[in-house]
Amino acid sequence: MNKITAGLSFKPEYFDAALSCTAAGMWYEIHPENYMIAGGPRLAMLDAIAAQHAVSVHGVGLSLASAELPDAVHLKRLAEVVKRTDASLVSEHLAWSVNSGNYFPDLLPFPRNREALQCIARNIDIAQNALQRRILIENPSLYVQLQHDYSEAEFLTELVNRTGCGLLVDVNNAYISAHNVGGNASAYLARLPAHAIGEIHLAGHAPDADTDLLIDTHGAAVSEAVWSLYSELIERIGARPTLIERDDNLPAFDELLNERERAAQLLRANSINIDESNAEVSVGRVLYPTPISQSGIKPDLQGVTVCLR
Amino acid sequence: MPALTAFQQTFAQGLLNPESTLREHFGVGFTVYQNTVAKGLVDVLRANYPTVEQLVGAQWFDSAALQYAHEHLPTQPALALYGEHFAAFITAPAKLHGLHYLSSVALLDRLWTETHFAADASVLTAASLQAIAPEQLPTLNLRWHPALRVAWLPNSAASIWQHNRPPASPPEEFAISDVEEGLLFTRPHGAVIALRVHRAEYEFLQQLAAGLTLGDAATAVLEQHGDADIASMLAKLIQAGAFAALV
Repeated sequence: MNKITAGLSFKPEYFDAALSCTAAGMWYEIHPENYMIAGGPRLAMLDAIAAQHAVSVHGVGLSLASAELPDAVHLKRLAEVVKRTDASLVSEHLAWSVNSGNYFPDLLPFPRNREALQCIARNIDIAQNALQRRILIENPSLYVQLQHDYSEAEFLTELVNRTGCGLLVDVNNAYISAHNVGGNASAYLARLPAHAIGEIHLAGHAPDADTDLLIDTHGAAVSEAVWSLYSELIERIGARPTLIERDDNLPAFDELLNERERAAQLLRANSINIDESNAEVSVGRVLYPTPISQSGIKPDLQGVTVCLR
Repeated sequence: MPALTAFQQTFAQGLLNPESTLREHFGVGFTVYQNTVAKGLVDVLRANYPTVEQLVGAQWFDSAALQYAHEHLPTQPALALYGEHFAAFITAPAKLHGLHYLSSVALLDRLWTETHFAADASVLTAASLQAIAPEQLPTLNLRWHPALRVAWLPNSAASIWQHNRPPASPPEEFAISDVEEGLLFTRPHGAVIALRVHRAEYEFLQQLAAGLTLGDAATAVLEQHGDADIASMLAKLIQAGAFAALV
């Protein structure tokens, strides 16, 4: 079975180079929302990539941290993209983007408290049941300080324990959040449950022009500080599929391949630590063990619009 | 109301309001979320209406797009077809600036996008039509290919669109008249193509869409356009991939 190692964000601009790339362990990550269309050349491109390479489906629209339930229609369309690409990995965010039927194209923050934990565990349960597989939850980049009852690491650990979900650790987000709202990124990463980590993201950021905030732009090369945190992380937990995440200010494909090779080298150096029992590291569909409703809330996509405490 | 619901409603209401006091409440980082949401929506509209932006410039476009986003927030996260009411939305402000053609140009951008993302289906080929007995042809029902879109518009909008749709560079001088023109979009080989159509061809397609047989549609067109060459019209439309394969 082919191991997926380091991967790249798939962009139509890179189609020819991405399709013909023969780097060992290469895989591509897509945003499924871009492929929730009836047909045409964009879907044909996705089919061609998926026929040649492993694909990771990284959603931005499920709004798992909403008080509202996941949208049933969106979840169905997500399942279609997962099936169409025979996705190796499926992930979403610890964030919300839907409120009262409106979609806001961003990953929005929330106070980490018991109510939010129950809502999000319920929503992850619903998503995992609908997709019939484990999903990975990504730590967000934060820009505002809110009143929290849980640290982010505690909160993610609770979600793992309650729902059986895995984690997608975005090292750049951890670095940005520590800078923007306080904390130590290295200590934060050390507190995450290593066994649950199924994927890692590396991306570039930029300082905001008007404030001292760092912005998660996905528009620059990965910073040395993030490489250093990444190296520390995989030395501790072992190799995990790692994405060089680039969505803006797209460079030549070869430039991304160079960054990707740097990650692949670090993964090879730590490959002895690969947990072979972690099926997420291998290409192929991972069937989620049932039953998965550990939080005891019966998934019901009809009628209920708020999470009752 | 549960606290999380209340928090999210308050946060959401502040996202598109530049005057929101939430910035004082949450700190300067709140503007990062405001800007990301605004840029995200404007960028989708920019991608879907590139000819409009080419004609009016980034400043006018951004302002119109942001106003549109305020009034028509997306209702789901797949944004490929976001902005369906944009042409109607800019009609009045464009006329105020003397840009009578702008909403028609926006409509053509919209039709291009609809063609681009429409469902796949086999196209009707000339060969498959030739295989049908001649006496059967008038009784045929030709179905539009799912990707076919066609419009008949005033103010030379089709010419303006064709000369200004990126990556075309806008001509330095361009005479704007009030000529009515037709434009058809199809996707015969994957990529979207735009093809000018005559009034008779436009009406022929409308008759077929209304369910008329090939023979009845031809008769209806010939009543209005006595000099129409139905055979060559049909050949042109078939070559453009306008029809779905016969079932």
